[in-house]
Amino acid sequence: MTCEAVQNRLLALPDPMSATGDVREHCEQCERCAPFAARAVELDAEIAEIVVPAYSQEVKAAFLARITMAGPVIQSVPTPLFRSSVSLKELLSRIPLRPLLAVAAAVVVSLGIWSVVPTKKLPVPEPEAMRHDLLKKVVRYNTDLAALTGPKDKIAKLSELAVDLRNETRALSKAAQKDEMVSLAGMYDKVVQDGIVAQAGLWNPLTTTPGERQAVLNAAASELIQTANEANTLATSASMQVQPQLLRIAKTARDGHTRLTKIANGEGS
Amino acid sequence: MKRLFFATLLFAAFAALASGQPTTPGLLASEQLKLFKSNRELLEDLVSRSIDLANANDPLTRAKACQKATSDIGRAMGTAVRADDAERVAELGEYLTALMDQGLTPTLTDARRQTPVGSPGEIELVQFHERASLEAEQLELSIPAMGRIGTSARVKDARAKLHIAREALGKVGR
Repeated sequence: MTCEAVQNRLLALPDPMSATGDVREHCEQCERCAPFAARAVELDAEIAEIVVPAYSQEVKAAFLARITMAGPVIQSVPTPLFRSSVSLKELLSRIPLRPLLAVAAAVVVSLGIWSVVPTKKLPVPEPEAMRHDLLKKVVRYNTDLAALTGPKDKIAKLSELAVDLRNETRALSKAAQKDEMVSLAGMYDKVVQDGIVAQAGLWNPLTTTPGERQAVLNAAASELIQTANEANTLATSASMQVQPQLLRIAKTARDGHTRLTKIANGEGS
Repeated sequence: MKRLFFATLLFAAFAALASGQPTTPGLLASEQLKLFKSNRELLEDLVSRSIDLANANDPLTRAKACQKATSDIGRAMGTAVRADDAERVAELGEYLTALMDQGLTPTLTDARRQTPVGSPGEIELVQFHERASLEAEQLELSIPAMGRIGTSARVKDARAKLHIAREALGKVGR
């Protein structure tokens, strides 16, 4: 039997001295319950000596009537901890700010670390390798040219391709070796001579207005002379390996410009 | 306490800034060169196809140029498969689909429309269509379905789109 159970049994007895069996045995052996039992016996004796005041039936009836009276059980409302009229300043002064700020700071720091450090449970996405922009563009030029039938549109499209090759040449001129620059120069040759100039020569003047033909060809020629100037500039600071190819590109562009200008002016193809 | 409060705010602000930065702001010259070297042969082939396409005067000739371009990309894709390069296979698969969808199939459709039934040109056209469809099927089957390449999400997506493009090519004229 637990001490709590023994003590409850003692309190329930009309006379603590009359405890028997397990309760008596426990009280005799337990260091906690033995003094509890002794005190219970003392209290019982003291209560017995209390003089009970005389009472009458009227007093008893009045008492019973009071405790059985109808109405709210709670007669008074306890005073709240904070008054409704307390100011914000007073309220804040009662809240411990220092530990609260420390907790908030710890939460923010933890969130920051959690957002940076990848968790093992999240699936790692496939890393996307770098893609060559020029290759993507050349594929697009192929699909675009597949849909074009007239020289005007073809010349404009091939001129765009020539500009992209110029941009690639510029990007690679410092780092490229001879093989790469030979490749670029070769591609540029094909686009200008076998593409732009060839289409300009095939463009029948009777299928368009002189103004439109001249505008398209002059626009293409303008890009070519820009390429020639840029390639010449790059060649002045290029290595001995790539300089000849840059000069080759410049010559191709200049020759292309000359031929386009002649065609635009009606001086032949 | 004020220092702790502002230090926390500053940390949170920097964390937010760092998370929004791009991971690849631009290519270095060495990276550009590496990309050019790995694509040089394919670039030279496709630039030649561009000239072929520009100089073509009829839809069948344009279709043949497109088919050669798909063959060029198919060779590069074979190299990527042997190198077990999933990302490269996915990239080339996308270009293959674009050439088929926006180049070969439309030009073949134009050729079918313009070629009279029963003419000698039709025989050549039908034979070309059969060869192109067969090659497209072989290109699709050359993409592995297992292993590192086969299990790549990007490759699976590229293969699915290529399959649709190949089916559309096969249905031209039907």
